This record gives sequence, structure tokens and C-alpha cells, in this order.
Amino acid sequence: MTRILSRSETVLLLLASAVGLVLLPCLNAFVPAGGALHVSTFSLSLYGKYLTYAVLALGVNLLWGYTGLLSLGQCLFFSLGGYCLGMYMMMNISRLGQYHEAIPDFMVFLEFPARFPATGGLPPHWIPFKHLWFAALMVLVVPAVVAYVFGFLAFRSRVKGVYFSILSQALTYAACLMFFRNDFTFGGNNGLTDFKFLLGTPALDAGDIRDPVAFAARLKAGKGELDKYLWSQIPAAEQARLAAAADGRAAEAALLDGLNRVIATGPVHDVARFKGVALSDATVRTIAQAPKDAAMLKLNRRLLEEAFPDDLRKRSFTGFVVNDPATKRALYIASGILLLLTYLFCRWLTSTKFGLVQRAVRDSENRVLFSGYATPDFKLFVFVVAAILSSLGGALFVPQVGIINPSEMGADKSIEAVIWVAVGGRGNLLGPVLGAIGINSLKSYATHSFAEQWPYILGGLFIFVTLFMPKGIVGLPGQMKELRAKLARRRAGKSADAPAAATKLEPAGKE
Amino acid sequence: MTKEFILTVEGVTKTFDGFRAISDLNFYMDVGELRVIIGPNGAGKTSFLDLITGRTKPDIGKIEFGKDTDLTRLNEYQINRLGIGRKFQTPSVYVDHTVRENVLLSLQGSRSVWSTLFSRVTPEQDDRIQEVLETIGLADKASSKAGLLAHGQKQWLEIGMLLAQNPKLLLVDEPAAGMTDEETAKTGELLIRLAGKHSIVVIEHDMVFVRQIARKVTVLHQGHVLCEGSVDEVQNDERVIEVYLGRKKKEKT
Repeated sequence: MTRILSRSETVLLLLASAVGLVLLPCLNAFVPAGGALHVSTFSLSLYGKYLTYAVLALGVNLLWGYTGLLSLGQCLFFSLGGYCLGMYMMMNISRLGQYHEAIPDFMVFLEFPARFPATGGLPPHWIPFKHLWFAALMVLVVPAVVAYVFGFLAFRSRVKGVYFSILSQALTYAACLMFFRNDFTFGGNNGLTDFKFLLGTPALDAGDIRDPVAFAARLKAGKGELDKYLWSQIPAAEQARLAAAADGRAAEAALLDGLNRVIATGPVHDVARFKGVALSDATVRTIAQAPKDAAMLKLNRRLLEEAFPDDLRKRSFTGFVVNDPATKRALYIASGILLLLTYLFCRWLTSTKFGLVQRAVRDSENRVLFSGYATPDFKLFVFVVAAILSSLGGALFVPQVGIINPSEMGADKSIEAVIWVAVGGRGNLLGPVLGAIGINSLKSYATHSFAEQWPYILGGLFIFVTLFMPKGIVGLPGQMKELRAKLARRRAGKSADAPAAATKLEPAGKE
Repeated sequence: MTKEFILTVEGVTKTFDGFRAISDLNFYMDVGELRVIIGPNGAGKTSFLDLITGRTKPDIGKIEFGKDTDLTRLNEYQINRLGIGRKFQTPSVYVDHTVRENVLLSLQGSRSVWSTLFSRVTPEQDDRIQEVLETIGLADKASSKAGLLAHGQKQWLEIGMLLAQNPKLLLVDEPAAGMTDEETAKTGELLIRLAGKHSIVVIEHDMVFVRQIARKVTVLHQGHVLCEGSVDEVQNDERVIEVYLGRKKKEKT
């Protein structure tokens, strides 16, 4: 490890980690809002987004900077990762959405129950995405498979240079058009949004009600204020189902639907209603905060559990609320760790003999091919690895911005990612990270100060960098040094003409 | 055919968009031979190397390596792995790598993605790199970037990269192009030293250089072998004078 990372790089990484992973989250968590040093949750989440972009940029750089493959479609893989995790979060809303159905809202809205009657409206490929492990696995597998198939075909047929760029652009554009279609089952142009919970859900599930028949009877009897209220909130349809229930299972299903509707709709808490109920201190504190949206749903669930300790099983964990500051902070830290690991991985990969072959392919592919290396295999490997990295970035991007839609895989997005890398400096690992964070900070500022001019600014920046700073921001110190040396030579050349002729013989590095 | 050739090319024809770059070419080469191929521009010299190394496939004809390895069915890297190394006309080295890394990538050994990920440089490999660098006279440049080498040194490095693979057959396209007279002479000595251990095909324009190294010369003309023989025989051949040397003389007057 010590040999792969130089000492200065290690110091830089430690410093960046200390500021990014420790200091900023602490300033968000422990400095009260309004304090001069406070970092708002909004800002932190924004930075988290930049960090996932930086992961994407490292993927682009692995292809373009190190292997000479200019892919203009990396945002496809970024989005695929986002969609995979988004699907999990959609499934995780379960019955607590706007329509209180077992399927995500957009499926109700697009009349999926008529299309997929066998599964109650859920397209079959969505079903396993209710498990986080499956979604996480798909974040790795889906982009890898897409990249493998595309890369296999492209590299086997020796598609190179601009043709590869155009093809990759076409791929992401085609995918974008496909995802825009409502019948493609991924939410059409609205995409996936309204995420509520991560890693768990406060919805009641099978087994949570100890004796559904008895509990239903108790609520119906309506002895207490709360019992009466709950029964009144259970829709008539579910009440009828309860009455008609032939066995415990049918009763449980009907009661689950009814109670989840209660959890999903209103603030359950009311001083009069909960008069005789002993609530825990934590719950009382939460009530005082008057939580809204997803956090309120979580509170509703806890209130029910504490009000009916004998009838409802108590679950210690009912998921993280996506918009909760603590969750946002955790997602930010996760993004930072992902970026750090991606950086270290890229550093390792490029320091191996594989890395040597990679750069050799970039500089002189023929030589590599005629040295016995199957360059298509090497390019394919890098392409798949870069796709997976981009996808991981996308998977962490989506819970932080709260939406994923087809415009994320639009042609322009992938080109933007290439600009970050160009501006930061390709062919090294620091440049793309600086480029992604820098340009996106600039973009955040520009798009609300002078939104209409932004595309021109970005385009101008790209042209400027391409013409005058071929090695990007990271290459600036070297460029300055060269310029100074050139000026010094010119000054020396004026006094004696001989050295000027000598410099001409110097071989020029291949650009 | 009693003798075993290292390279057998029989009845090969290759057309590009109707242009016959190679036409009914027959070429046989002995093991350990140093053969020079000359011919005017457009005679098909580079196309000939392209055919042997799998960059292009012949329309018809037979190209065999050693006893019975059919090269027309294989692609570039497969052919290279058989032990056929090619040096390009313009020096193609990895400019961003050090001289040592250039040679390292060319050493004999596994070429799979997996092996490059997890292999370490062994002391034997280090010795071999050193040996190669000494052969080509670049031992003192081992850790400088290949892009910073002089033109002639790049040519040598590329030859060194071929040697690192310990190929059976070396195909060298205009090694002396752009070299000073001194460098050219050194290159000639290097090739003569290597002949015998390896079989070598050299394509060359520079007649001084050809004289220095050639034992047997093949003259190509319009994709066909015009004649074969020693340098003197070839230079005194009527047809050669007409198509090649003769034309050159006319140009001068």
C-alpha cells in the first residue's frame, strides 16, 4: 500500500477525509443552525451529490484518461444504479404511498393492475426489488451486463475513436427514450420519486398483529377513545372484508390494509385520544417536534405499538426516513467513503501491470495488439469496471436528491461528465474529482444566479480548457513551469542563437 | 519439399478496392535467416507484413508459420503469441512509459487480463529486462520516459521490445528510417548479431544499409517477387534496374 500511494498523496487523502468525512458532518450535526460554522443539511446533501458525481468522473477518467476510450454514455450506468436503488425505495414505501396500495403510486396511476393482474399490478421484475440485498446486487450486475454486452460487440468489431464515442452516446440516448415510455414499467418521464424510507418501513407487516381477529373485534367494540378513532379511520371496504373474513389470514390481510391506511394518512396522535396511554419518553419528544411526511408515518407506527403493547409486536427498527437530517448525513458520509474507496481502487488498478497495458492501449494500441495482448479484452474489462463504479455513484446519488428520471441518462449529462474530467485534468486521479466537485459547485451557483447563460459558460470553459489547458487544472503547475522554462530559453536564445536550434531537435511528446 | 521453412507464403493475393496490393506472391524463408526485402514504393512490402501478422487476411493463398501453423486463421495477438514479432515503420513505443516498462510489457509470459492484475515482476524478469536493455544499448535510459528518447533510440527500443518476447521470427519495417549514418550502422550490427538466433525479415530502402546487412535480398514489385539473390546479383539484374534502380536514375536526371 505504501508503495502504491506516495507520501504526499497519503497526506492529501487523510486531510481530505478529515475535512470531508469528519469535520463537515460534525459541523452539520453539532453546530446549531444559525451558527457561523453551521453546515446546513441542504448543503451537506448537495456536497454528497457532488461526491457521487466525482465517483462517476473517476469512472469516465478510467476510460478516457487512462485507456483512451472516450465514452459519452457513462451516465447511463450512473442512472441504472440509481434506478436499481430507486426501485428498492419505491417498494419500501409499501402501503404508505398516496394511493395506499401495495404497489408504488405511479403503477396505480398508470393502471398497472389491469396490465399485470396476476401480481396485483406489480411487474414481475419488480418483485425481488423489495429486498435491499437484491437491489444492491443489481446495482452491480445490471450495469456490468449492459456494459459487457455493448463492450463485447463494440470492441470485438474494433470500433474505435469517435465511432466508439458516437455509439456510446447512441446507447444512452436509446435507453433514455426507452425509460421515457410509461409502459417500460420504470415510471416514464416522472421516473421514481417520493422516496420515504431506507432499510426498513414503518408499515405493518404480516405477523405484526398477534391475533388479528381479536384485535379487530376490540377496535370494533370501540371502548376507548383511541379504539373508536382507529375503527372510524379504517375504510368501509376493509371493515366489510373483516366482517366477511373466513379465517385468520383473511382477517389479518384486511386489518393490515386498514391499519396501514391509518398510519399513512393522518397524525394519529391527539391529546384526548392518548389520554390513558403510557407513552415512552422518546415518543413524547418526537411528538413535540410535530414531524411531517415520512417521519410522521414512523411516529404513527410507534404510537400504535405503544398503545397496544399486547396486540402489536414491537419492532425496534422501522427504517430510516430518507429526508431525515441524520439519514442525509449518513448518505453523505457513505458517498465520501465510496469516493475514497473508488479512488484507492483506481490507484491500485492503474499501478498494476494492467494499468501499464491500459495506458499503452491509449498511447499505441497497435503496439499492444502486436505484442500479444488481446486489447479487446482489456478494453472490455475497463469498460465494465467503469460502468460498475458509475452505477455505485448513481445508487448513492438517488436517495440524496430524492428522484431518478430518464433525463439523468440524457446525452447531455454524459457529455457534462466528460467536461468535468477535461477541466479537472484527465489521466490522473485528482483531476476528475476536482473537476466534478468544482464544476458542479459552479453550476449550483450559476443555475440560480444566471441559469440561461450556464450552458454557454460550460461550453466556453470546455473549449478554453481543450485549447489552452490540455492537462486541466491539475496540469496547471506543470504548464506554468514549462512556460517559465520557455521564457527563460527565449531570453537565453536572444543572447546566443545556438541553443534555440538545439531545442528544435528535442522530440515532442505525443499528445 | 524436404527442408523446413520458418515461413511459407504461397500463391497469396490481396486486393484493396480492386487494387492488387499483393499478387500471387511466393516467399520461403529458412530458419535463422536474415532476409532483406526491397522494392519501390507501393511494391506491397508493408502489405506483405500486414498479411503475415494478421492485420489483413489474404483473398487466396497459403501463409504458414513453421511446419503447419496456418496464419490466415489467426488474429494479430494470436500470431504474436506464436513468436512472430513486428516492428512498425514509424517507431511505436509507449511514450508515457519508462523504457524499462516498455520492455516489461513485452516480456514473454501470460497476456491475460487476470495475470496483469495480480502479477509481480520477478527477479528473473528484471534480469531479462536488463539483458535486453544492454543488447539495445539503452541500459542507462531505463527509467526515462520513452517519449523523451531520440528517434533512433526509439527504433532500438522497439527492436528491444521484440527481443524481450524472444520471438522466432522478427519482422522489421524500415529500421533505419530517419536515423543518422552512425545510428544506421549500429542498427545494422544489432540485426546481424541477432540473425541466427532469430529469423529476421527486414524491409529497407537505404541501399547502404542493405549492403551492410544483407545476405539474401528479395525484390518486390507490384505485389510480386521480382527476383531473389545476393545484393550484387539483385543489383545487376536487368529487371530490377528497370523497375527500381533504373527508375530512380531517371528521376535524378
